[in-house]
Amino acid sequence: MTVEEFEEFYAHSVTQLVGQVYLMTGDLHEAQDVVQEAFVRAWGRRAKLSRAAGPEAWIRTVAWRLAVSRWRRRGRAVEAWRRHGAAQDAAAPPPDPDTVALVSALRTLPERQRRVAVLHYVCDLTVEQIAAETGVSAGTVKTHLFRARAALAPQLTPEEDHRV
Amino acid sequence: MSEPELRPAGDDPLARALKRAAAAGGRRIVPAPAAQVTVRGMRRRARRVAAAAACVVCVLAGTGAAVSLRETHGPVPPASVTDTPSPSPSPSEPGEPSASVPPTASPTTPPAGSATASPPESSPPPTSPGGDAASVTPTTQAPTTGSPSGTPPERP
Repeated sequence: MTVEEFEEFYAHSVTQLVGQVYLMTGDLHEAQDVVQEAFVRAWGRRAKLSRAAGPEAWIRTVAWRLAVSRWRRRGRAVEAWRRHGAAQDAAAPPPDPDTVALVSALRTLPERQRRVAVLHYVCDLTVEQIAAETGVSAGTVKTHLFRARAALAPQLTPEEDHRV
Repeated sequence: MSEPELRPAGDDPLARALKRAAAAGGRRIVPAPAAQVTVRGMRRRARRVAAAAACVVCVLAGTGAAVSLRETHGPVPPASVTDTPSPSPSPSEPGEPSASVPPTASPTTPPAGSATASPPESSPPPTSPGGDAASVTPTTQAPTTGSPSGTPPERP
């Protein structure tokens, strides 16, 4: 992947990846930070990343691991984002109440269930692909999906249920 | 426990709601320009290269210092020889220096009066002024008046 291809890949997928990692972590600023750091790391190995091999999965995995590492020193990161990220919050439109309720329900899930649910429902990965990306068995992935769905289903509005 | 039923994620209301939430989160951020990511990536790679070079230099310098120290001081003798000295020096160890006993003499059978025994180093054998020292025996040689070649003189 050349520099131009990498910049095109970044511009095309950064928003999507931040949204996915945001649902995994529950923190938008941290998601933005870890995704950007993952892209910085990907720049050094862009020769090994090819568009056909799905570099989004590599970015997503690295961003998730960075987020897990940062949870251990969460206090300092939250304080830093409060200092540097307040201006961006003011310009962004607030999310609708249903989204807030859904994200709040996602935060109550264990992190493995949350990650598996996002990979399946947001990234459209199959059970086998999720098992390969997360390193757990397919049966465990199914169990996580079942429990996550049972926990998130009450947060869906009746209007969304009728659309099916 | 029954097998959980998994719907395809495309026509699932939960999937649609989660995708909408992810898109809302993505819209709320202002992504950094790609040039900034490129600059950070270049800096990160430069730092990694510099760290790797520093590690290589440290390893090479340490190896060179160790080799030079070893060449300077020579091989270190075994610790057992220096720490526990033997009460009676053994003659079978030619490398061990001895202050009282000459290296060629046996302490149990002294060669007293032996003409063929080599003298100690403190009294070197007398040598002829112009001859070879190895061909002269110091104790049994009689003064001769004959030819220096060693043939006995003819008597009339």
